[in-house]
Amino acid sequence: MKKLLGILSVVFVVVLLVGCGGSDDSDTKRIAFITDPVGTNPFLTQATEKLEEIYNAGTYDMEYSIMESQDSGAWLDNVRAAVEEDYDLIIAIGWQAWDPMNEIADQYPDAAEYVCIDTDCANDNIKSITFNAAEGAYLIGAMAALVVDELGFPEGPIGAVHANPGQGSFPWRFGLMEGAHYINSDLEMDDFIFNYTSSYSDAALAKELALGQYAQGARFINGASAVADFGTFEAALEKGFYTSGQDADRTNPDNPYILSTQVKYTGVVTENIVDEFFSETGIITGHTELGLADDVVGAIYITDDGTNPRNSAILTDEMIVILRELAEKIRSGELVVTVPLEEDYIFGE
Amino acid sequence: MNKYYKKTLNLLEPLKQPAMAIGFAFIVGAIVMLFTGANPIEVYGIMFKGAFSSQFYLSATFAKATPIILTGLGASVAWRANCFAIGGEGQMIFGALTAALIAIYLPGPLWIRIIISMIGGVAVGGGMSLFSAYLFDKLQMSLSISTLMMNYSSKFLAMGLVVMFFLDTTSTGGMLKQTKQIPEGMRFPRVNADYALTIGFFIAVIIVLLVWFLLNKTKYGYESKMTGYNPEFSRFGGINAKRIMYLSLFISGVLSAFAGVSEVYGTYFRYVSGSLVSGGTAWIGLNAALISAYNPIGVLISSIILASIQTGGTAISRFTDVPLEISQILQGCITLFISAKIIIKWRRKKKLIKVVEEGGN
Repeated sequence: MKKLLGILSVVFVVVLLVGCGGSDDSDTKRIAFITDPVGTNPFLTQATEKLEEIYNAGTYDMEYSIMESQDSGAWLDNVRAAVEEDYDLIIAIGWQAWDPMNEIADQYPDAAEYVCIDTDCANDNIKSITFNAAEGAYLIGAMAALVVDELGFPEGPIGAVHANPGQGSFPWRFGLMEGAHYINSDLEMDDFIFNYTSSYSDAALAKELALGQYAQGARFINGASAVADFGTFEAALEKGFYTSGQDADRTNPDNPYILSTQVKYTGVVTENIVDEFFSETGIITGHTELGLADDVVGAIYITDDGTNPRNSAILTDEMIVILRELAEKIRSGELVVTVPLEEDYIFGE
Repeated sequence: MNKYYKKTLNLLEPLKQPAMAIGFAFIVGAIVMLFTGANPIEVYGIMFKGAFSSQFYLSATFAKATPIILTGLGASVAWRANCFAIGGEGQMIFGALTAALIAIYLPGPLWIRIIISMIGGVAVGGGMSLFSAYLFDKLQMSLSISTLMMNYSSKFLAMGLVVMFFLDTTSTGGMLKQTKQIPEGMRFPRVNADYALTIGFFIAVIIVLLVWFLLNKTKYGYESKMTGYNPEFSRFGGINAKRIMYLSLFISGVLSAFAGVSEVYGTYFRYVSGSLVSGGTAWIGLNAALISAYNPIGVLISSIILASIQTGGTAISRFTDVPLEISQILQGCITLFISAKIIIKWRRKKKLIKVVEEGGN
């Protein structure tokens, strides 16, 4: 009986594995969107939702596939497979795109059009779009300094629960510190506390870190660890400190402690890419950095109206005036926010 | 007729357990898919297509199988000798980092750098494994704990070293924690420029044969097998169990580290922090070793099957709306059903002991 079961299992596996999916060929343009697992990360969901919206609108004769890459190996597999499977436009979002996109765009320059979002691939065959996240962080830093001053803690400390240490998240730290320093030049580097979740989804750890920072005296704690920020928000609601979120508007009428969000509109960028792809020019390769002036980076209530009412008891009208003036300075180029290498950085320049 | 039936059954006997485990895993996967509203036959069809249906996909599967085979062999050599070490991941990390750094920074002709870099990489992995053996030998520290802890420390130590001393600031502006790339002339050549497969896979197959020979045709192989069956009995039989432990763990470390080296030379061309951990390669390798009952040829086959679940899994994400996690559910279920086999064996052993104690009835 057991032997029979064994044979049956072998047969079952073989039967299940036999069979192939169909493929179609037409003039329909095929777009591959290669990304880390999307989950509920707003940095990614904004882009995938925009693709779905464009597809449903039927403006262009297109179909698309979201290729979620669980690990570095899957990134390589998916980029290579996108060319093999004859996609016309390959969009990759995230730093992990650098190696696979460079390799494939060099090897098959004419097989597809290539776009990297959030990383400068420095390749003649690729259009690279990056964000000057530090500009948004600068505004949040300035907001933090104003808020802690209002709360009677002008010397900080100002807390921050971010995703990763290293140069990768330095634009967020740099912007936050420089923005706060712009408002209060007495602040020193020691007046900032940074902790890292090493994850975009570990909300429990983010909460623990935020509570630790609160215990050290932080009354404004900037959240910049994607979905894990919900842990920071929960801690804020429990302890009554103020905070801000990341990527898409995180303000919430049930949590008045979330004062703002540093936004990055990946959906807008995705739409621009698709429009450009279907335009007469097609994708124009080269590197573009988008910031406040392009309306894809900013901070809720400063550069964008939030979807929820502002907590004007804390984030007062006077503060908003100051912050909007600051945003205008960045937008006009009067104030340039350029992120140095972390090892070369000297606080307050 | 009956004779042929029996012969066929005997031939299929070694395949029975893995096939049952994989079969049951696919059934569970199908049930999960039905809950998500997907058609399991269609999804498995796409999985098969994404893993085997053309030379392109087959080469991607073989490329993915390469480090799994090597870590699987590493686990087999150790576990077969009753050394339950699970440090493949840490050894892979440091094997990869050492090989990458030597390849990048050592001056001299490329072929000398290749040799020294590979020897350096595997030596570090073997050394790490030997250290665990030493801790067990001298301090009675559990092998599982010391090797597992070394996985964690290796991951962060390697990350720290890269960020502090070897960060490539030219690519991604230093955003990704990775070293520079090794020179082009040092990389494993691809079998076909369009495919992911490199000669690394064929080196792994040769290593499979060498390990098979080592385990089945040498004195060490016999002694390690005996030690694995019953350490006390083999000690009384004159086998130096300590020597076998040190040797098995060293070979295991060398093989796992070579998995990391092969990833540097054939896949990433640099050390990328987290890349060897995020795919769970060492754990999948251990899975392959368990499925095949530490048989090197079995490791080769089961590694290819497990790799196909991964490459097929990414194909699912490309062609359907079914979540990528389905392939992980399948792998988890395979491990689960394989562990069921271990429990059954263990219970049988206990029953047998009981029968012997009660007078052999």
